[in-house]
This record gives sequence, C-alpha cells and structure tokens, in this order.
Amino acid sequence: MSRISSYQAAALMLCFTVARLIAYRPEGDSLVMAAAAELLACLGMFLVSIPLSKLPSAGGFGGRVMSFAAAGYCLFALTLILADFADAMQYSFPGFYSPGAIILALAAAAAYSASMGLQGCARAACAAVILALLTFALMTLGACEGIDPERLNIAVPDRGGQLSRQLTGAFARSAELPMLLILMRRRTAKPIRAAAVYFAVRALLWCVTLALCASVLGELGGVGEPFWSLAAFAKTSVVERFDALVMLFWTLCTLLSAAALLICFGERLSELLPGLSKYAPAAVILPAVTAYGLIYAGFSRPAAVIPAAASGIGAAAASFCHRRSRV
Amino acid sequence: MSKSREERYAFSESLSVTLDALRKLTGGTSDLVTSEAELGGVRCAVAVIEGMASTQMLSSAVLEPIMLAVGGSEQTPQGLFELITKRTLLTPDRKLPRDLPEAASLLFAGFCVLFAEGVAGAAAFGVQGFDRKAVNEPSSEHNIMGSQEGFCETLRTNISLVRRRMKNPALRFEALTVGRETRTDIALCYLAGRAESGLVRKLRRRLSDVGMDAVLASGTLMPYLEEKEQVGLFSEVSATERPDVVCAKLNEGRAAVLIDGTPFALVCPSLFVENFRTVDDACSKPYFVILMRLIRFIAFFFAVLFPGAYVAVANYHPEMLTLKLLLNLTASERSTPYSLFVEMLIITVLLELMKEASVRMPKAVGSAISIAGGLVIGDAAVKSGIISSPLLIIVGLTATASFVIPGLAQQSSVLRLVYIIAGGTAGFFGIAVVSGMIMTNAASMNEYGIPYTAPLLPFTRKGAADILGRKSLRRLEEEHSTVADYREAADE
Amino acid sequence: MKRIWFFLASALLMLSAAGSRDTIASLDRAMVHAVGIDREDEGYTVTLQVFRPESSGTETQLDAGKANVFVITASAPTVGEAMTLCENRLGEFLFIGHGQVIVLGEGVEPDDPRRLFAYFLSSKESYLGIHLACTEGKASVLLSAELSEGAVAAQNLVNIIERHAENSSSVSCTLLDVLGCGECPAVLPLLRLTKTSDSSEGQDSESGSEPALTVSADGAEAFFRGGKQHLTPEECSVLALFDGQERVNVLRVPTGRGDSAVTVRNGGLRKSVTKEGDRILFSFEPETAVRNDQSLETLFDLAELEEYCRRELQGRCEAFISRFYGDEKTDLLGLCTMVKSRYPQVWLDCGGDAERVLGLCEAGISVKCEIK
Repeated sequence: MSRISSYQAAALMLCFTVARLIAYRPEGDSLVMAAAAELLACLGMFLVSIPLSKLPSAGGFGGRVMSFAAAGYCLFALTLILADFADAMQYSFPGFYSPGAIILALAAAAAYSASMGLQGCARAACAAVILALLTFALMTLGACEGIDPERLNIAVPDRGGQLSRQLTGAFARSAELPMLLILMRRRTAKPIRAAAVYFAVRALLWCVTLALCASVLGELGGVGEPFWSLAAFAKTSVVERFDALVMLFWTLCTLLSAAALLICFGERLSELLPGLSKYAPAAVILPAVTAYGLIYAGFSRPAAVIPAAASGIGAAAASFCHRRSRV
Repeated sequence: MSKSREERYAFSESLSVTLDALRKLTGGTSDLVTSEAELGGVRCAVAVIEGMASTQMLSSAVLEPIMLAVGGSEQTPQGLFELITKRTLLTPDRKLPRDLPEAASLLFAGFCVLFAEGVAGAAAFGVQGFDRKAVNEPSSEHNIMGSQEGFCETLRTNISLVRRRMKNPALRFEALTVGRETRTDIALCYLAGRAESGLVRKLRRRLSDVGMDAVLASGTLMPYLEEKEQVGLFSEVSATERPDVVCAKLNEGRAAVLIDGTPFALVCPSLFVENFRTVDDACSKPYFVILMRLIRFIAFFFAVLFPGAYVAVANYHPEMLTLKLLLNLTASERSTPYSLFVEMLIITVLLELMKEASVRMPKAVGSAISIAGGLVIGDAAVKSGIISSPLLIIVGLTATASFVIPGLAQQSSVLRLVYIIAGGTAGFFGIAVVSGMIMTNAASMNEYGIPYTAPLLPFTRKGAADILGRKSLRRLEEEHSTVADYREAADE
Repeated sequence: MKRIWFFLASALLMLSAAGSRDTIASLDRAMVHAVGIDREDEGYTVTLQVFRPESSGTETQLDAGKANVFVITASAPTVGEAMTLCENRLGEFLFIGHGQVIVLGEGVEPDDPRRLFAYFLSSKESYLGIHLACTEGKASVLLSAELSEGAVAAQNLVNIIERHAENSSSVSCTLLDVLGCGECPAVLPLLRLTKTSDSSEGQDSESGSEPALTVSADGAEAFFRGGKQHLTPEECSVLALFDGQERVNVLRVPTGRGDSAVTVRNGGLRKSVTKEGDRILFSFEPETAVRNDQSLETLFDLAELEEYCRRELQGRCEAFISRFYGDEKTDLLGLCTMVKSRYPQVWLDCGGDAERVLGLCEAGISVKCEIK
C-alpha cells in the first residue's frame, strides 16, 4: 500500500479547510468570535488526535464494525460536501449551474481522481493548496487598501453564545479529524506531524482570513459569505475581481476532498468485502449521488438533467464492469 | 522423413548444398549475390546482399588479405578455415554464424559470409557499405550554444556519437533485437554505477517482451516502456534527437534506447519539469536561465490554459477583466456571427489544421501555404467579420507559445481543446474540474518508482533549484545527483 | 482508470453543464456604467448609463468623435423593479459588474443601505468598491448631461470625485463603506452640475450654442438616521486628515503682495485613546508636511509659513469638532468604532447607542506641520 508524506496528508486535509472557509457563513455572528472559536477548535482537535492516532487497528468483528461505520461516515461526509458545494454555488452564482449538474460532474470527476490513487490526490492537493494560498495572498494585497483595524471588535451582546455556536460548527463540519484517523493514520508514517502541520496552518488561515474580512467588510462581514464578499471587493491592476479565481480553487479543493473521501470509502469497503473490484466505490457512489442530484434538483429541468444523469449511471455501470487493474 | 528445422538450415560440408539452402531460405531474393572461387585449392564462396556490403571493403579488407595469406600454397578446407578465422585479422567485426538463419541475418546486416567446401561452417565479416544519412543538425531540437550534431538513422553511428562524448568504460550498450519480422537492432545504454540496476532490469525485460511484428519508429517502443501507458495523459518516456542530451541524461542515472532506422533515442524515466529544460541552460548564466525557465512555464500554461480561460472569463466572469479591455472585447464581438466559444473552437481547429499541413506539405509549396494560411485565412476572416481580432491575437500567441515546448506538443493540442470546451460550457467550474483530473493524473504517475511530477510534487529540496533555475556548476560537481534522488521517501 | 475515462468524465461535465441552464453570453449584455437613483412620490426613478458599442467607431470602442453612452430611465416602487423595467426596455440583460458610480438624487438617503442597494447586493457581479455620490437635484439630469463629446461620462465622474478627494475638497465613498459602516454616518461626495463661464460669452450667445457643462464635487453630504448634514470643502479637508490615504490640502496663504497657494501633504495620524473614569478621551495628532521648493523660499519665511499652515489646519479641526461633536453629535471621525474596538464593554453597557457613547467621548486634535 503506497504511503504519503505528512505534508501531503496535511495538504489533503487542508483542501477540506479551504473549501469550508470559502463557503463559510457566520450567520450574524462576529468574525472575531468565529476566529477565536476556530483557534480553540484546532487546539482541541489536535490534542484529541494525538492519542487517537496511536490506537491500534481493530481486528475481527470489532474491526469490521469500525470499517462499516467508517465507510458510512465517508459516504455521509461525501454527500454533505457535494450538497453544500451545490448549495453555495447556487447562492454565489445563481442561474449559472443547476445543482444536479454540479453534483453529477463533481462526483464523476472525484471518482476519476480517486481511481488515480491516494498518492496522486495527495500530490495534487499540495499544488492546489499552495496555489490557493498564493491567490489568497494576492487577494489580500488587492483588499489591503480597505483594511481598518478599528473594525475588529468583540463588542457583541452574546459572546459566550456566539463562541459556543461557532465552536460547535467548527467541530461538526470538520471531516478532517475522522479522515486523519481513518485514512491518514495508516498511510502516513508520522500522522501526528501531519496533524500538527495541518492544524497550525488551518488555525493561521482561518484567523488571518476572518480578521481580514472583519477589518475590510466591517458590518457586512457578518452577513452572507464574507469570503466571497472580500473576493468581490479585492482589486488589483491586472485582475479586477477575484471571485472567479476563488471559485476555481474552491472547486478544486472540493473535488480533491471528495476524492479523498471516496478513497477512504473504497478502502473501508474492501476491508469489509475483500473481493471487491477497485472501481466498486465509484460504481456505488455515482448512482447514489446521481439519484441524490435528481431529487435535489426536484426534476425541475428533466430535459437537461435526465440525459446527464443517464450518462452518469452508464459511466458508473461501465466502471463496475471493468476488470480489476493492478494497484 | 521431413528434416527438422535445425537439419534443414544447418551448414553442410557440400558448398553447393549450403548455397542452395541459403537461396531457399532467402526465397531466391534477387539481391543475394554469391561468388565462387578457389582459394588454396579449396572451393569457396562469398555471399553478400547487394547494396548492403561495400565491395571496396570486401575486396580490400577480406578477399585480398585472404589471398595474400594463402599465397600459392595448397590448403585443406579445415586449414583454410582456420587460417581465415583464427590466424588472420581481417575486420574487427567477425562472427561465426551457427546456422543458415543466423548467416542470413548477418547478410542482411551488411556482413559478407564466406563458405568453404568441406567445412560445415561459415565466417562472416562486417563490410557494411549501405548508403546512410550523414550526421546533421537535429531537426526538432534547436539550440544556440550547444552541439549541432543530431542522431541519424544508423544505430552504429548513433552509438559512436554517444561514445565519443562519454569516454567512460562504465558506459554500456546492450544489443537487443525487437520486431518479429523487422528484427530491428536496438541498443539499451546506461552508465553502470549510476543507473539503478532495477531500472535497467525492468527495461531489458520490457524490451524483450515486445511482440510487435514491425518496429520502425521510436514511438512504437514507447508504450512498452511506459508504466501507465493507457492511463497517463503525459508520457514517462521522452524522445530526443541529440546525443549530448542523451549523455546528460545517462549521467543522471537514466537509461536510453537507441533504435536502428530512427534518429530519435528514447530516454526514461522522464520528468515533467525536464520538458522545460534545454541544452542552452547549461551554457547560460543562472539568472538568465531563471528568466528563460519562467518564460517556458508561462508559455506552456499559456498554450494550454489561456484560450479556455479567456472563453470562461469573457462568457461567465467578465467582471474579472479591466473595463477598457472588456469594452474592446464587447465592441469586437458584437459584429461576429458566432458566439465566442464557437469562434474559439473554429480558430483552434484551423490552427491545428495549418500545423498539420505545414508538417506534411512538400517544401515547394511551403510559401504558398504560409501565405494562404496567414494572410488569406487570418486577415480575411477578421475583415469579413467571421472572427474578431482579439481572438486572432490570442490564438496567435497560443500557437507561438505551443512551439516553445515541443516535448509537450501533443498534450498541449489536446488539452487546449478540452479546456476550451470546459471553459466554454461550464466556465471556471469546468476548468477547475478538468484541472483537478489532469493534476491527479499527472501526479499519480510513478515511473520506475520516481514520481513524474518530481521535484515539484513531492517537493524535494535538492531538486528545487532545478525547477526554475539551474544549480551552479560548482555545486553540481560536488553533488553528483541522479534521478534516484527524487524517489519519494514515505516521510522525510 | 484508463485515459478514456478522463475524456468521458469531461464530456459528462460539459453535457450536464451545458444542458442545465440558459446560456447568456456576457458579451451580449448591456454594460451599465453608472446608475442614478431619484426619489419619486411613488417610489424611485432609476437612470442607467449604458455602453453602446455600435456608436463607438470602427476600430476601438472609445472614439472621441462619437458618443458611446446611452441613457435609459424607468420608475417603479423599488429600485430592483425599476432596474428590471430598464432591462425590459433595453431588450438586453444588464451587466452591472463594471458599474463605476451610483449617484443618489436629492431626497434619496442611504439610511437603510441594505434595502436601498438590495438589487446590487443580490447580484454576484456587483463590485463592492463602486463609488457612491449624491447630487443636488436629479441624478437623471446629471447622468444625461453631455460633459464632453464622446467621453464615457461615468469614468469622468469617478475621476472627478477621486481628484477632489485627493485634493481634500471632497470625499470618496464606496458601496462597501456605506454597507459596512454600521452606526457611523455615510459621507458621500456632493456632485454639482455647473455651466462653465466663457470670456467670449457674447459670441456664444450670437452663435446660439449652449454653454458647456461640467461637474464639480465640492463638499460632501453626511447621511445618518434622522437626517443629513452638508460638509464644506474645509470640513472635508479635516476628514482627509483622518483618511490614512495620501491626500493634499491646498491652503491660501497671504504674502506681502497678495495670496499664494501652498500644498500641504497629509502624513500619518497618531491617535491615543484613554479612559478616565467614565470619560473616554481621544487625542489625534495628524502630521502634515509642506515640501520645500524655490517658490516657498522666495515668497515666505519658512518658520512663519509652517506656523500659519498649522494654525489654519488646527482652526479647521477645532471648528469641525465644535460643530459635529459639540452641537450636532454626528460621529464623522469613527469614534464609536474605536470605542467598540478598544472598550467593548463600554459599548455594550451603553446598549450600542451611538449617542450615549458619544456623550462619554471627548476628542482633541493637535495638528503638526513641518516644512521638509
């Protein structure tokens, strides 16, 4: 089984973070409280991950139960990620894409990327994260004229409530910790180092980004998706607006996150059913996600969605019939 | 009772039987020429393939010395054969074929084969004299400050070109034959001690497993050398026309395959970043090399991504463009009959068409095609309003950029079209999805244990300096780095 | 997976994306450069300046010989409905991504900016850095005026606003400033349409041609809940000292034989906030500089000039404080924001009421000026 380095593992987990950061909605809470909550969440999750990553792998019946639970979690997280992405695309780019089409296209691409193996996805994640961070840095330069540090404040009436709400949200949507424990632990020689790098970068990224959003956007930062607002405001002499570039990296990171979950799901499934073909995960996921996309789209555009869905199911069936290839 | 193959094609002591068997084996081919004479009282025959052997060399290096050695004395058949094969040094290339098929192979390789009455054997001498192309400047890999010699179609000459540049006893050439019908001679070359033995072993095995009938070009062998031939969008094996490049790659621990009949050598394992290196980099100042490498990286992304990104931005995200640029584009696109996406597809297909025509066309009509393509199609298309001028500028730049990296020309052409379709139908979302798939495809390639995207992904500090620049030569002389340094450690 | 799956997955993407929505080529949309909003009895009147490439010449879109803007107006109860009416009348989808300026006519007050600008907030194309301005009279008149032949009027407006702001005779305000300012008043530059005076007026009237129009942005309007206040150019120059941007003030300084203009450049701003009991004391020290050159050395005594400039600016600042923090309690310097940031508990104790907070604040400005 091929292994990845701790930095690659951290990059793969950072894809989840970047995707979540871009589509983050504070729902009226203070961005400073959200940054504080994220810091606490990172510290807490890192401390929890240290003993958990040292646990031995369970065997026998208990091991199968764990594999089943892990596979189910991966499928659940994958569905959520794709649905959230489609939702956020509808919110940020209304009228451009239908949710069903987005889910289908992303699921197919994630299946393809997952079939390339964990090493391929991890290396691609390194490139994606670095490019995303460079773009964010450029965006920061473009928005720095509007920075007013005086806008950073914690003068909110319900500080404790906001902090706990944001903390709960940070934990609830963190697929990375289970990913670390389910997948990375076995495929990385130093999972604790991977966790340390990941949580440090995540905390820094969130704090800097939220502080930037708060100091530039002011009261507007608590409404909608502050990252998109910031991207729409940042301007340089070459690139007038950054929201399209941000969408590119958001899609890329979501795709790699979905691919990682698919790999994880496939590995756990093959532990449960050892004779399974390498492509079975894609064959299971694609029809399921296609069906979800159809239901989500509500059959509002049957003329467009049905042929696309049919192609997706056909592609999944073909991949299921494909012979097992050497890993 | 029918004779077995060995019996049918074994040498006979009877000269006439042997010659008949040889003619039968070669199907009475008209280019088989046999001459008989008596040397020292023994009836002998020499066989050559017309056009493959040099008659001058045959007479001066083989026949004349034999006759002088024999003199006027009478010889026994065995004595004469021993004189020829053991007591004289006629040509350095001397072989003793074991049977008629081997003798026929040597004949086809330009040897002359000597038979003697009463001897169940033959002696073959290398007297190649077939017409061959001279060593010329490489046609596809030009440079300013490096060597101007390129490989030619003759394997022996190519081997000598490499040997001349690397006077190292560790340089090995292993002779192999591929192609069931063509029996093409190839040479696997590597630097013992630098190239990993596992790599050489794998290559040797893969070349031995080639089951093709005809191996006439280097591209025929490439799929056999690639590990993920049916999966990868990029190739782990590169082709080069330059002996200095082959030497440089051998020095880095790679292996090369020279093929008789083609001026391209195959080198593996090959990395993605090597497509952005040229011979001139070794002869230029490091700061200039950094600039040129940057230009090449930009050219590649320009050639592949720019048309698709332009269509995506103009159709889906025009707010990204500056106001004046957008106003220019709007004004120019208003008058064209097709959408920007269709225009871009049309002009891209036209570009590929003209590229293909420029490669295939006879030189006599070259200038006419250039005029027709450039002036008539380009200029007239804009003036008639079929396509807009900004689009023509973009495609012209794209075409120019695609020639900067000839090693990735195939991928550039195909991926450019994929990106245009992705950007035109799905905007930056489509570009992101396609980019993700391409990145994972390229990043998953592990040729012979070395990642194709090294030293970028995974990032290695040792090789980092070579991505955008060139390590100083003094540092290179201390490091003696090879491609095996990029082998990924599970955790650094 | 084999390479073919890459192309199949890409094809699936295209098929699903292409079939899932109506394609509108953005280059076929109407480019809106400027938006004017006027208040009517039954709602709002929206005026749009739209780029019209057909009238812009053959080679480039900006042909000084021809006008390339087209003005359209529509009225409706809300701004969003009025924009939709404009779209219907144009027969094209609107593209507001490169809007340069939104001009608010007299009577339109951005006291509830999220409702007023809801249409712009809902569109992903909107640029949050779009300039906002207000005008005396109707915005439709301003946007319909032919300022100079062939120029894109909206760009001119933005340039005029920015030049005035740089010279501290007005301010610069964007949509983000208004949406993100919270309880602070929104300060918008005030645009005035004026006819230029001509020495050969007699000839003009004989030939029958109309005098040329020009726009100036002298002064500003501060909008807050409950009203608005006008700021003179001198008061705008005080705001410029707190801007943090590179601004200049042109002061009229008397010499022995008349007045001369001296350019004073804004430097940094030192601020300190302390709490003494219940009172929050703000101390601001704007630093300004005058670049020494030959004209100054010949016309002035440098020490006296330095003192004069300092006194002049100090006087403006004190008048500013006296007016806006003494009589009218309008927080134009962002003191509430600073209290919120540095003393959040005080803010919370005051229940977020800006007036109560301002009642606890005392501001002092001490201008420094040196000749370099």
